[in-house]
Amino acid sequence: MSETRHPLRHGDLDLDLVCRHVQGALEVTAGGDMSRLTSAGDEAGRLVLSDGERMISGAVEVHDERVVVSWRGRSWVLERRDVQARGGSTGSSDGTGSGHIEAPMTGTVIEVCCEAGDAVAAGATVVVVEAMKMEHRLVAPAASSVTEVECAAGDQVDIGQILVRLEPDA
Amino acid sequence: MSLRRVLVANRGEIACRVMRTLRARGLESAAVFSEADADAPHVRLADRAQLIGPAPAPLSYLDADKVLAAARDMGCDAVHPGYGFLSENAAFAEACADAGMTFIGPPVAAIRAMGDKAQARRAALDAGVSPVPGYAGDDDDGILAREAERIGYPVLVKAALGGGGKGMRLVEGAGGLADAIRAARREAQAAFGDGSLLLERYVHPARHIEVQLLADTHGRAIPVLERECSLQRRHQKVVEECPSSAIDDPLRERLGDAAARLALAVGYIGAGTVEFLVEEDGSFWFLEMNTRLQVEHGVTEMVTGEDLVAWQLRIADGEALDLPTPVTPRGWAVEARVYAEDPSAGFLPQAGTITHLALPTGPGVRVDVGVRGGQEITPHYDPMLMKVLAHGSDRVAATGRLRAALEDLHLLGPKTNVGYLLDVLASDAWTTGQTFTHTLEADGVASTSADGVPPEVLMLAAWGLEMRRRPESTDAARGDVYSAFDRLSGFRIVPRGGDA
Repeated sequence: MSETRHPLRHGDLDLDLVCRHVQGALEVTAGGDMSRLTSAGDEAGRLVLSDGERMISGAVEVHDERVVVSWRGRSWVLERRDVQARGGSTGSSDGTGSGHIEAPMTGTVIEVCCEAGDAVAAGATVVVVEAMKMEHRLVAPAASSVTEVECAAGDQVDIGQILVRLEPDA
Repeated sequence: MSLRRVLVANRGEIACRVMRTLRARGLESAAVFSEADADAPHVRLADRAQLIGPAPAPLSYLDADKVLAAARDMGCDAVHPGYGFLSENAAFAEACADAGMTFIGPPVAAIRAMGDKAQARRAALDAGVSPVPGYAGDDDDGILAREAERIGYPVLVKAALGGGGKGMRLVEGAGGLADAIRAARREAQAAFGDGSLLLERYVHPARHIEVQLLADTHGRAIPVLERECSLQRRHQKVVEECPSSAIDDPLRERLGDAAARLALAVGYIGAGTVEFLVEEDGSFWFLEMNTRLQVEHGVTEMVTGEDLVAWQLRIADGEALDLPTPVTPRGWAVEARVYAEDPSAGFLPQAGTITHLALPTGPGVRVDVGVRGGQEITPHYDPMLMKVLAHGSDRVAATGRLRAALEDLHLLGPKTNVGYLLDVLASDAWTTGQTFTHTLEADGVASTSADGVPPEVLMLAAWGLEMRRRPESTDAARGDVYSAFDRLSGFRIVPRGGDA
């Protein structure tokens, strides 16, 4: 019987799911535990699985590079380690990647609080962006010097756009 | 006079909620929408709808002339403003009247009296209701700095025409005042078109308690219980309840009397809310009056069985209030506001397409929703997606129902605060009823989510990944397992390039 391995990652945690199809059921082995799943169908937008004892109800979305699962009011993003990530942003979602400050979402730059050459302390406000009618202060993640400012007050910026480049202090 | 066709000058969940009552009362509803909302639920729910402009609110929902022109075009005889947007705009209410349409809200003079917070403070004093100690007057930076010293830090800087937490800043000491004034002015100017500010002493620990009022055209104002909305983040309410665990009957009566006195003093008519800060010894201070329907009105409806929008319409039609007084609560109701925001990244608002949406249901559960699966959440409007409410025989029962409902809400696409709401409802502060306006921000909320990934999540992920492989497979067994696959709506494959 053939099996498929799905290497996933959640944060720093590597997770390997091994799947086998056995007599109309899906056997999933994760961390040494095996569950035998069958579909209990679909209930008003919820995917319902049975592991023989309990029902598991949630929603699942499979992307090329990740799987998103909604269960009990929370959602988990599981990256697929076997799929090469496509280029794109490397900054964390709060817009404070190590070497630059990114727009956390589409909005308007209200204020730029630094200039190229400035030394900024960890937590210092670098740029203020307005989105959805609220102001958001983007702060330096670590003590850094500002190498480049790529936005100005009044600019419309897109999510992920680099606003300020930083060189973290050694 | 009798209303026939009502323009709902709003969008999202509140527009939908108002339209449902219009339909229940046999009235026609008309919607206005921006270019970003052509497919929005409120447009589909209305009996007729008209495009009024591009996505930015100042060019559409906030443009009184365009809204009124649409109301005329669609033959409306009344306008319901919902909350936010033009709901507390006295000039708009006046323009409606000038155009021969009934504004479903209080008289223009009452909106003016309460809309300017400085004036509202004076009106409260005149009615014998103490406002929060503070300063309202000429607001140049120097005067504000002096007055802040006099009041004593910490102080709140507030937009005089504000509401909904916009244009509001807490200042701990003199060093932070200049920045706070600048930011609050800018936000106030952007949100309300007026940058005037006032100062208030930061009263804490205190609960946010508000009295729902109904006042008719026959000189009667009735308090319809209180709501507690102490749990706030950045002055935005997160969880609300009716009644409050901190209010006993005598205090309820004192608060209700104060609210009704103020309403009568300013000639208030319609539904409105008087907000107070209540300290632990039962002393209370008037904060402001909202001259409109509140976001959280639904908890009052669940506990009283009254439809507050219906009462707004009936009062506008000249009916006299017909409620057993004093209004007594039947059980308990709790509301949680679901926002498109990322609690793990400073609650930043999230935009993006809702790729999957399954709403909870069940006894005592109500979901006021203005979005649907497939809809794009844009940065143009408030990031609140829906409100989930639950009613039960007591606070514990209502909380249990609300938690179960939130756990059964599945929304994929933009991140939401649902997990955070569950943490709030599981917190000691909530369970013990020790809820104060500083609770969420000062004390934070412990995460109830286990570290790592629950096995159930891995099972669902595995199922999804295997389903995705199916088209390349000829394994006969798989056909059996996944025979229902194509009909499954709790599952979705996003093609390459489709997951922006």
